Amino acid sequence: MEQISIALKINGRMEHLEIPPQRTLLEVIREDLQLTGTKSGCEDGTCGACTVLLDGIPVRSCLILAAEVQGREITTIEGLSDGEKLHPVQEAFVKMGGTQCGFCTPGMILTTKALLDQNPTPTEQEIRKAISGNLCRCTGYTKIIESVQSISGQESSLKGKENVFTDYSVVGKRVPRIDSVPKVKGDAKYSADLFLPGMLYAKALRSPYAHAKILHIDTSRAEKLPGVRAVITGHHAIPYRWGVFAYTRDMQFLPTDKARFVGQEIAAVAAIDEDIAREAIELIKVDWEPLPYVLDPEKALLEGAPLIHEDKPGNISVRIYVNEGEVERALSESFLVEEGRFSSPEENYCQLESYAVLANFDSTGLDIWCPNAGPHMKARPLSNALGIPTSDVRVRKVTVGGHFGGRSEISPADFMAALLSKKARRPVKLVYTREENFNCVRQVHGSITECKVGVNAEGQLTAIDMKVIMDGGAYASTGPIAASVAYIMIEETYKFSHFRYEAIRAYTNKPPRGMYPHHPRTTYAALELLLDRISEKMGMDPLEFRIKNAVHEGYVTPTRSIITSCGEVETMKLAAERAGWKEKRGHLPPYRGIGMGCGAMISGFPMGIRGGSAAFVRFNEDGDVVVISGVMDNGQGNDSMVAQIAAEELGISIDRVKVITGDTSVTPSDQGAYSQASTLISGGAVKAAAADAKEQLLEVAAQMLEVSKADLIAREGRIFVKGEPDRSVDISKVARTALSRNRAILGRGDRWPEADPKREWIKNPRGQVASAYSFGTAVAEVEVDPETGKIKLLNMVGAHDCGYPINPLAVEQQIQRSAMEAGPQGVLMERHLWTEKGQNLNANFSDYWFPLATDVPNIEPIIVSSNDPFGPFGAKEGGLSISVAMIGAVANAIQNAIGITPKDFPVTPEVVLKLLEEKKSR
Amino acid sequence: MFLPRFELIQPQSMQEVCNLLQEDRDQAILLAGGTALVVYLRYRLRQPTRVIGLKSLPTLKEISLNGDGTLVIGAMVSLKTIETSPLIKNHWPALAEAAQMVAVPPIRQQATLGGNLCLDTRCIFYNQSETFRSSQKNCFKLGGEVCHAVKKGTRCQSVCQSDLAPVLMALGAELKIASAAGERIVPLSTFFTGKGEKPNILKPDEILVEVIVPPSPPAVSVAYEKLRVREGMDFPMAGVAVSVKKNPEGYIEQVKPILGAVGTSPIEVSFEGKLLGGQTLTDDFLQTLAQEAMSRAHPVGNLAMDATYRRKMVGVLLKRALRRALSMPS
Repeated sequence: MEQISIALKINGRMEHLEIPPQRTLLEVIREDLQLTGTKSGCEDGTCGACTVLLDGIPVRSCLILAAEVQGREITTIEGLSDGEKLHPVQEAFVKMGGTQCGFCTPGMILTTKALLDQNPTPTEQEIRKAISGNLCRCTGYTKIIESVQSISGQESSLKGKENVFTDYSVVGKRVPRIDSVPKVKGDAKYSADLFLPGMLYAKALRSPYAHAKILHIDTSRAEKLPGVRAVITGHHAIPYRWGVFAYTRDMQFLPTDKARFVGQEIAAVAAIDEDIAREAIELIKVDWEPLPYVLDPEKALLEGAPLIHEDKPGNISVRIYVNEGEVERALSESFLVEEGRFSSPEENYCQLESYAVLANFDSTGLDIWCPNAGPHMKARPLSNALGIPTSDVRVRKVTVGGHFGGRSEISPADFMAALLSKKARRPVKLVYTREENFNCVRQVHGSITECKVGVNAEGQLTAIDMKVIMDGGAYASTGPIAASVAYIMIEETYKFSHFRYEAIRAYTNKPPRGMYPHHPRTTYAALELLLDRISEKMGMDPLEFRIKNAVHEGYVTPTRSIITSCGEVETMKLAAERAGWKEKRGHLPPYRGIGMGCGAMISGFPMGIRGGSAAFVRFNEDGDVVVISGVMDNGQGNDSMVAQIAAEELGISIDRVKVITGDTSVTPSDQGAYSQASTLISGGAVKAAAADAKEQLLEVAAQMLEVSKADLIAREGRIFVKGEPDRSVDISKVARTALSRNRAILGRGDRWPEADPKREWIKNPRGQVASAYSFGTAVAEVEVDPETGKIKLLNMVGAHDCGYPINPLAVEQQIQRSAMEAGPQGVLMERHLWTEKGQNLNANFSDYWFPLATDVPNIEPIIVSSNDPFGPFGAKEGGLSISVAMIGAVANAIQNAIGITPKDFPVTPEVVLKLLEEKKSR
Repeated sequence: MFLPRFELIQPQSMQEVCNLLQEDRDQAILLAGGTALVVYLRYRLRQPTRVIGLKSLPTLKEISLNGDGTLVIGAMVSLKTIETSPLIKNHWPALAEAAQMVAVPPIRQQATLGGNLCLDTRCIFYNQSETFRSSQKNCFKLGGEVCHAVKKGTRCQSVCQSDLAPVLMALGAELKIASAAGERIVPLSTFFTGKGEKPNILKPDEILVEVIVPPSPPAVSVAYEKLRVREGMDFPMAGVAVSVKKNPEGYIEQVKPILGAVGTSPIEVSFEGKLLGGQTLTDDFLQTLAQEAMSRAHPVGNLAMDATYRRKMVGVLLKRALRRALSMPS
């Protein structure tokens, strides 16, 4: 290939390179110079993750040819800090919580730096505009804006600083997350940032058909292409079908019978470079027999619909049925019944990091780096699919650029990279395009919900009857859980004596759908919209109505879960107060509206032998601590969470704690970052391990101070005799003394959910479902443009009962993320569009409307603490209830603004106009 | 994903560009800001053997004011420069506004005026990856004989989503086009062909070099309104630029709306007959104009928003643009 010589000045250094002329600046920076702080998040210049400064101005390095910018000053994130000393913008992002998963962070920081160079005191609107080209999935943009404001010494125009907690010395303190410094410096390594010697590049061949029989696959021409090192199809794999449950095993990673959705992987190639891999893919010939297909879940359930899995009659993937009490009778005896039908297409996860895998299979087994929510949950299916012992699968620690439920499962990408590496005997990297990340990992269920809600004359809810059809896509995925979540959240949010819920998850010829915080969105929207209609007809304030029907500690849900700690009513009152509910509801001008919604979450559900977490806490000779835990950090701050818990338990500062997490070669088993269990279970295990280490430490200290162990207390890095502030010994001295006495301080601990092990999603939906329950209330305010139908979000408030905040900063981050995920994303913008043949028309950020900083208002986070008896230091989970609650809040704000119930989601401008016309024609 | 292989040439003078274009004609492609073209290359919507990079040409990056008040903007002037130029903001505010509505700040930094006017017409079935396109038949725009957006369609109806074209048409702009054979000046209103397959009149050996904007006549104001879902990033789903002339008594003498993003080219709507005798801005009058504009719009189902809705919005945008233009000091 023809090469040209170029000289680039990057971070003050001249770099002389030989490159092909078509090489982009991004590729030179990442591949040739291996400055991987600059990220690649899309192909069409929409995400902004590849932002660098060109003569001080932010530009997209993916849209510039390297040869065009010779002689210009290029600054990447690596060039911003002065050695160890962070740039003030980096410092601010660390301190104010402006970084979470960190994938957008380098681009965001460079954009901010350029803004402040030109305008040292930007207004909030100026900041929003300046960063509108940098997508962020984790922050709701609020803490990024606060970071920028803090640099210019401006008082934050945003709110939420009242969350102060003083019960402990480390826990409850607003501390910078331990993962944030590597992220702001661009040092954090994501899967695509890794390079191994001799590494090959992989590419997958995907189905062009929504449903087609594979008659024959001819890979011979691809295999002969120079540079190709391995080609695989499903015929190279051992017989194995993946399923989250024993009864849902329906997915061959590389199918040999037929393709069931457009984009499904059929074969894969590893070659010495990406171009050759791409060329080889084109040389693979598949003989297809196209089959009839079905894209609509309701049509999929009709008799005679094309069958997607031969052993699943009626295309029913999962049916969940719960019927407690006498719903028919209760509804017929109710004072008032409201009902409606609501529908929505699918959403997407939009992790800023596209899926990427690096696999190295050698004679010692498999090392694999990939985005994941629980490495132990990947190791098992990988070992099964590859036919090797689980201990030979080493899912390694890597930084993950977002999860949101969409990284829960094993991905065919993991399997393809592993098998290619095994075959080629070389490391293999497979990086998905943005389109592949949209289509070929997981999507979020589309749904249709029919709901009836009854109330008695006193305003007490009586019964709910909800029927849901979920568009599950081509495979079962986490179907039984996904189809159950809605009713579990609803029954723990409001008191219903009579409760009926039926969810049918239909197979369709679309990409498979996984877990999501508020899925399906129509269920929560349905309930909350109907509640507001009821309260209006009853002449009750929706706030009072909700307070009256809220659950409380000790309440037993219809399916027999006992609610433990519960701050639901407090969240209602606080959210309403801060949002100005009393002053605004009913007093806003036309086309302005304010609405409320509530939600709940479960933490720690039974997952059998994999439901628990274990941890070690080790003291080094200098008195520093290493926490070893299987917990996985996907950007929500779990690494920092376990460090903070260990520091509190051990009475030391957080900077003395290092963590080794999420690596099956080192760390003990952990249930993964699902079911909001990380703080509760993984954090609980670390607390137990730290307590064990502390006991050992106290034994040594007791000998040193010649007192009984029971008289000692560890705090501020020392061990004190209780009540005698001048009798103490430094913890590092105790650790060293222990070693000199031939004793290593090594604590161990584990934690398991306290839930009914007999409860089963389909067969036995009764019994204690979780170890803890969190609650939240959201209030949103909107303005509707009656001519265009455009909705502007003016304000969002989320109050979340997290039990107790380990780190208020991190809890606020989660509340804000949840608020954006539900409001602008879930209610207003996100949906996929399909061709008649089942191709996804908007698998890109140009046409899939992911909100920008200019589309999101202030998000005020309020932390409510109910001190959970089971959780470590009373903690439950970080803020996910708001992802449910905000759906109702924004939907109700729209209903309040236009006086008619939105039924189709997302509520796009077209939808609003139709609603207004419908109202007019009445 | 890597770009396809090509040869990159970075000429230092216009003469060199014209010579290159002449010798290469069908094989070469011009690279301006790259915000659109690089994506096209990545998606293999263009696979040129030779790319002519224009970034090192100093002459195309100038904005100048002629003695007669005519504004001349080089084709390589960035949208950011147009958005922030005091000269443009003061005398042609609608142009600065429209530039400010394009995409997001870093894109405007790179994107150029020439690029925005020569922007290929877009379609949600066409602006897709190679993988996507490989699973459907080639459409008219790809040399095939089918339209995926309009069943039984007989031609390409991809959309001209330039934000600047409608405004510049309302301002009466002209274009200077150069080739080895010399230069020609054409009104912008004749630049677009209305054919999705080949949206503008540029010949393979020609390059757009300048945009010439006449001085604003007295009593004329121009405003632009854009329909988009997000406050940034999005191409227009519809856009309306309106030029309006008032007489001293406040009557409207002339209204010239240009509709953007509702057809294969910007659509000029003429109201001559309806404006006899002058008009004041009554609701009825506005409604008449809106109806006329909506009937001239030609949106089809090839963008991420519904075509019926987009047509309806043409009326709304027109009213808003007109009201705003009238409220401006002329």
